[in-house]
Amino acid sequence: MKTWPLWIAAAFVLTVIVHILTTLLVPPAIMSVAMIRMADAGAADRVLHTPPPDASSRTVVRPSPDLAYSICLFDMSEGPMLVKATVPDTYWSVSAFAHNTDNFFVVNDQQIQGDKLELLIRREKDEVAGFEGIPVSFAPTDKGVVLMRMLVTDRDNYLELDPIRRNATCETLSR
Amino acid sequence: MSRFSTLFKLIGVVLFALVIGAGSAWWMILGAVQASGVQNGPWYTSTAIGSAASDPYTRAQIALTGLLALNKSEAIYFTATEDGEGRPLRGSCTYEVTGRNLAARWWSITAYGSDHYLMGNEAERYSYNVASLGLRFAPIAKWRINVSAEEQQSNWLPVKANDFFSLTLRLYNPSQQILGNLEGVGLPEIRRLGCSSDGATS
Repeated sequence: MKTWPLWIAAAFVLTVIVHILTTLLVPPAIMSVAMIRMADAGAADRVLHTPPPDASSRTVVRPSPDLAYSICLFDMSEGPMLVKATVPDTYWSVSAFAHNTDNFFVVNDQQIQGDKLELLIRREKDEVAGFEGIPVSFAPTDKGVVLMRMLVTDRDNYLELDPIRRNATCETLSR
Repeated sequence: MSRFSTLFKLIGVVLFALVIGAGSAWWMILGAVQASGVQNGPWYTSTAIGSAASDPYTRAQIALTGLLALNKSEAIYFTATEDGEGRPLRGSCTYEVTGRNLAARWWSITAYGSDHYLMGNEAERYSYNVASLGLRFAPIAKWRINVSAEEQQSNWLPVKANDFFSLTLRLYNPSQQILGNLEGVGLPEIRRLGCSSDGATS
């Protein structure tokens, strides 16, 4: 009995599986690497404030040298995250990214009433009492990144705005 | 003998699947945005960047070349890897990038090396933007950036001599005029002026 048609079919099926797995696993794998680098830099248990990137910046590809980034990591399995920040007088945004790299939330300085931001990030299934009235964003994955972008035009502008962004906190709420 | 033959075929099938499966995925991923996105002259983008609706190939390419990019409601990212005549952007050549102000709250043009990171240079200059080009108070003025590994007299955006590079045009809070016409809106022109290796001019 000739078996080569079976081998060809097996090769085809396995090739399709490898193709699909490679495509689907690249984003979470890259996000995991980036999150490990961010955690190593200090974003695991506090807000990591970085100056505008330069050629030595290697945490995330294609950073903008015109922005100062502030980073928090969340893990919804440990509890919801409460983000608080003071809005500086420049372009500023808070965005949240799922572990598969999707940008599931973003708000900028012009969309916020007043100069304070409060944001609760939680899983849709989790109930959190005592935070009524605070904007809520539902995280589609347990792990992810909160990223604040602050536009700086020059060094003096950066030195003026940097203390304001350092008021930001990311607090994991216990269940 | 039969066992060895079967084992040999099995290894062949697995190797074939790994090489062709992963290789074809990689090829599809690296061309995803250009294949399914929006082309405007030498610039390309995708409205699916950062979106949960993006296809798996686009999501993977953005993870590789633009992780943590914002979705189109907040920012549009155009990338150019070629000049206006379709030639790859090379650090051994000098380019002029020209244009007018763009209808967005903030925009910038940044140069990246082939590794997708900022390129070290003595001037510590990595980008030009609406403010550094002086357009906040002269919104209709025409501007020009000189992209080259060799120092330029004005608006020099340095790149590495022995590397390919790319440019990213970021538009934060773009106007509806831009969002509704990504293929046709007037974007900066990229013109090669000459190359140090072959002396070619265009």
